[in-house]
Amino acid sequence: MIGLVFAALRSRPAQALTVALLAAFVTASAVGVPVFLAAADRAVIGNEWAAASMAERTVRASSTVDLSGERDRSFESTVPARLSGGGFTRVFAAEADVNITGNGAVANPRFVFREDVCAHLALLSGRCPAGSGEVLVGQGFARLLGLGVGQAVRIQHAIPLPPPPPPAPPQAEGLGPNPAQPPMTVSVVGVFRVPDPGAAYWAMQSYFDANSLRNAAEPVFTTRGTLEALGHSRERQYVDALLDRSALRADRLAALRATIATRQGEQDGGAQTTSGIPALLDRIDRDRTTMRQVVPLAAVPLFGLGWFLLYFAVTYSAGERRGEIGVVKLRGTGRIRRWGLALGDSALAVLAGSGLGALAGAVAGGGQIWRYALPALAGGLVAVVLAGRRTFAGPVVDLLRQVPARSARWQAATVEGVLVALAVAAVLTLRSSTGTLTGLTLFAPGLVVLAVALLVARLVVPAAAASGNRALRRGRLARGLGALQLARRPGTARLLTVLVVALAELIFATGAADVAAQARTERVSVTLGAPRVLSVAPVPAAGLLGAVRRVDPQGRYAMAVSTVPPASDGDPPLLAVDASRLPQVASWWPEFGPLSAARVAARLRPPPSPAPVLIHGQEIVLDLTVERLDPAAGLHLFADVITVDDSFSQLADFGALRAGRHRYEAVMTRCLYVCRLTGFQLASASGVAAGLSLLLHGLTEGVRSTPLDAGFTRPGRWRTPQVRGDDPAARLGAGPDGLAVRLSGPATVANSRIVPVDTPYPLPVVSTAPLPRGTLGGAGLPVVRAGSAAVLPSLGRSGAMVDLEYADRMASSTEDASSAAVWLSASAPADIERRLAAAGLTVTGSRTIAADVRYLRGQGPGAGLRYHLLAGLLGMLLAVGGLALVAAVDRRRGPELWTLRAQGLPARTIARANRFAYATLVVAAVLLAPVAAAAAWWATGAQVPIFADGRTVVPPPAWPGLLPVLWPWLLAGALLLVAASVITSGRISPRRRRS
Amino acid sequence: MSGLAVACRRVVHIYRAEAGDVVALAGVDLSISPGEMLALVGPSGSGKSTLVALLAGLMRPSAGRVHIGSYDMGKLSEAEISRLRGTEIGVVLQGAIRNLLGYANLHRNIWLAQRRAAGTEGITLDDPDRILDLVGLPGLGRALVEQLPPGARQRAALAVGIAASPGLLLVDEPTSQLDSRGRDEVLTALETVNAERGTTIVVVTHDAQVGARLGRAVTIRDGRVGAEGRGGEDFAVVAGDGTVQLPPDVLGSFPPGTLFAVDNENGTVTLQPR
Repeated sequence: MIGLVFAALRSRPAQALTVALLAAFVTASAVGVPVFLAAADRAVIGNEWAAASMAERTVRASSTVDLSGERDRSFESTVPARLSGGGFTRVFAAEADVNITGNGAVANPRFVFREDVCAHLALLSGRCPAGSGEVLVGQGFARLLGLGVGQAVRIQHAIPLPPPPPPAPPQAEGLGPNPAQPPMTVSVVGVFRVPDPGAAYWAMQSYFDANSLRNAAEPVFTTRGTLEALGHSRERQYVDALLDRSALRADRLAALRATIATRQGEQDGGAQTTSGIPALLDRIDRDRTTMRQVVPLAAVPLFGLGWFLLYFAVTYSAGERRGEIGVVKLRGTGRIRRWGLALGDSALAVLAGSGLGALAGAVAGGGQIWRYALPALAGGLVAVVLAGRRTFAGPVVDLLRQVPARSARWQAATVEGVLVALAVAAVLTLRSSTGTLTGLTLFAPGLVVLAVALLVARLVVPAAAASGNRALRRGRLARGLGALQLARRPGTARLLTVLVVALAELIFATGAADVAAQARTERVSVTLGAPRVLSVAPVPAAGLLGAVRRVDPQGRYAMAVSTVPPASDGDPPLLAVDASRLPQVASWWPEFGPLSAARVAARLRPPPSPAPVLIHGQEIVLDLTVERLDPAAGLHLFADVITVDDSFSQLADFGALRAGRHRYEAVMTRCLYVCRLTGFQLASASGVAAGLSLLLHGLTEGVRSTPLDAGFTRPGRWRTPQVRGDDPAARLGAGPDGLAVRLSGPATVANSRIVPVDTPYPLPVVSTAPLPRGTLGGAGLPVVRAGSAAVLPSLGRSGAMVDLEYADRMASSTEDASSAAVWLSASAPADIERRLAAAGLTVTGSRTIAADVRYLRGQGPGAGLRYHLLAGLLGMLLAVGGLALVAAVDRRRGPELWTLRAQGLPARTIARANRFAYATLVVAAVLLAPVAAAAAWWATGAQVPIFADGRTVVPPPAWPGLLPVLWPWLLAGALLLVAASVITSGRISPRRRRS
Repeated sequence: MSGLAVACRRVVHIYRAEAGDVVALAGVDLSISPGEMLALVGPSGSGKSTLVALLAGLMRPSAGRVHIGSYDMGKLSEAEISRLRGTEIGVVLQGAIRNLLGYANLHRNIWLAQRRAAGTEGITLDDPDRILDLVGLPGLGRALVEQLPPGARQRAALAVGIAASPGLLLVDEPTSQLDSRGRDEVLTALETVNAERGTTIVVVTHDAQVGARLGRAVTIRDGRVGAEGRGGEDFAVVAGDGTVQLPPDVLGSFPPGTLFAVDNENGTVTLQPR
């Protein structure tokens, strides 16, 4: 029997080869899925790794060791060992703050022992510290304090300074020497430079960040022994476990997550263990999940197409053997032998082809080959059996007479009906569910394409018949006969379905890719806020604003931006922008709402622009009349000033108040250049007496008593600020020649304050939702909603925007702006970073739309959509294969029209009719495929995942652009037409002509 | 296996078609004795191939009964008929190549045709070489059908038909494509099979000489048994419904509706047209 099957196989090598190739194609496509997924897993992991922050690559255990008693070594003896291995490289570090003076400057650097530190530093001079009392200093630090190799320096443990007592003296540094600990003399043995402050080794220790509190952007490195020898009461200890890139593998993700969860639960030696790695793992998981949602959308139709063609090929092959199998059946041969003879060769071909396909997958390095190859093989065998069943079923006499199977028509209609019903069910399920692609819904796009293709294919056959008859009546022989050939050939509808499905899948894939590309660009444009965003090292808001305005005085391409930290978790994020530049710099989309960027800017900075009171000297004189003064109160009046770059603020004391009109002078030592007057306030050690009356006549500055436009006589120029939980005690009124201030009740330093109106009050904000209350941000900025937008740049669907300059004037703080950044338009000059550096800003990072889009494209859905395109191309290959298959069968049989040769029909007309039939079929498929693809997109497109996190800031486009879909469609259509033309140009053998 | 008797009683067969029904057999009565050789002759479309198809169980009669041996073919299930064709009824289709798997040699073709009988108790099968000897193709077991001359192909088809040692062999047009030598070889083979096995053989043919050589030739005309020739002499046959067909040459002189007076004197029947 086996010999007979092999003999049958040998007798039809071309058919067997066709079936084997198709089976190999389907199996290779199936095992290609895990190969692709494995490669895509590596790619998405690499993508996320590249985008991961330092915290997302590190597990940090930290503990503060109290050294007041006996030194507790439990943390350093247990935790470093615990966090070693398993894909982690651990670094132990211990540190304390120290105070160092030298070269007329004071610094409070971190005094750090860090394992293997010298391997990560470039020594400019000297050597690595090895012995006791040896330290290594950074070049900036050495310059600041005038240090050099071999120099001895005194260091002392530093602790936070206590808050200044009232009345407030000039603000001091936050750290100072700890008087309880003895100083220690150490020797500088080397000066270093950091080749890469962002290297993984430094974890997120921020050793090299500028920090005005410390007055040093570099730590002092030393040995463990030296740190222990330093007298200090508390020591911070860290273990940074750095995740190795090689440990982040798809097959180890779950184990890694479990390891970190275990580590975070352990608290040896008072360790607090934190890690951003779970967030990274979450993103990778989301990537992999969404990728696995998208891949089946394309894989299932591709396999279906392959199986269908296999079925098609076996049906044709089997059709030629109906008589042969009829004879076998005539002899009463048993069912098993009959089926073995009928389908054994095809089944063997499928087995061989599938084996080859699986082998290709194994060579390509995919895992779980058999999990995918076996279903592909099973599908192939089912296709063979179905084709055989359709061909070989029926009475012997029908088989012998080569009568087509009678049941085929209603069976086909039933199958088509079931498929259409399934498509409807899948779409309804998808639309009624949360939109997650699981189960039947995974097949939804493919089913819709197939259903539409089947329906239109059903219409094409009668249309071809009608068109053929009409053409014949009009005497167009070739066209009429070609159309009739289409209508009569049983495979027309099937081939048309294959072509439509293949082309529609390609169109769907390119459409989905385009929608995803548009959505990614829109999302990045919105979330980034501008074509390019530079993050800068911490700097006060006014310093940021001034530097950017100096670089771009016209406001054409650069805008200073910072965030205002929220007062509580429920507050909307608040973004402060230099609003006058918003229209020129920010990316603005119609989805944001009716307010344009210019109108938002106008709402944030409504005219007129109030001017600040600026002081250009270090001395000011206030002409003041004081009435109803309680001499025992010892009241002082202070001018509150801040440098215009927010670097320093000062309460300048006018001295004790005296009854009557006097001139008071205050010296502002911090105001070396220009200061802004932010208010006047009273203070005394015993509180402020009620009922005090002040009349501010005028303000002059400098030794020449230059008058300042303080606006004491201008109504509305001064106001009392809102104080949380306390009503202002001061009442303002117009005096005869100045500003009258009356304290109506018990007053304190806080509520006696009066401030010049140099901003709109309250601050206007544009927000996406009504504001929860009248103040925003940790500083309690009084705000009012001046406009609404559905979406705001960088903030997305939730947040509020305020003018940075006004918010800064209102806050009047020397603290660094939060998340300081410079937004740049596309027209920013190429050397903008250098210009900003020259203006005093340190650029720490750069984000562009292109780079962020690249990151999103590298996420799971992007990878899935790339598979979609690949599957679309493979589907086109199958379509061409299907055309070739049908044409080959037609050639073997000889065109039916050839019989008309005997009646005088010219051969040329027959050839033209044949070409017309194929060309018409292809053109019909090319025209109908967009309809099928559009139907599938309409029904399911919104559910195709675009972003791994599922977050859409602005709704993605409902439809792809015309051009990105048009050219693949035209190219694929042209490919099919060329294929049809090449295929139909083949000559029909004389033997077939005779037949 | 010894030959099987065949009996057809008022067999009617109608083909159903969209354009209208076609009566292929309109009441055939025919009896064939076990071991007899018989030729069914007649013009194309007369119904002889339909009659053989009914004998082979490929179709069911629309009316009447067909008995093969002890089997009433109308009452058998498809599976039983299939078993019969694999054991007791051998069928050789018109066109030798249609009976054989072209890619398999004669041995394998015969082996395949014997499978059903091989699995049935009580049947002794001949060796394929012995069967080839029987049809005059000794030593050609490894040959493919396309390597044989036309006469040998037809005998190879016969070999497959008798592979399961059937009691009834139905052969459709075995000589239509053959020259006289080939025809003789085929007929000799049939006679050998009949002589050695006692197989009942029914041959459908256009060739009157084949009928003459087989000894009994039944002419099917317009779906009925029109005449029968035995020993070189032709006879009219009284059908089961009492009708008798006149020979075509006689009938040509009398249009339909002609009235005859029938005289029966001393066993001689005379028809007198009026």
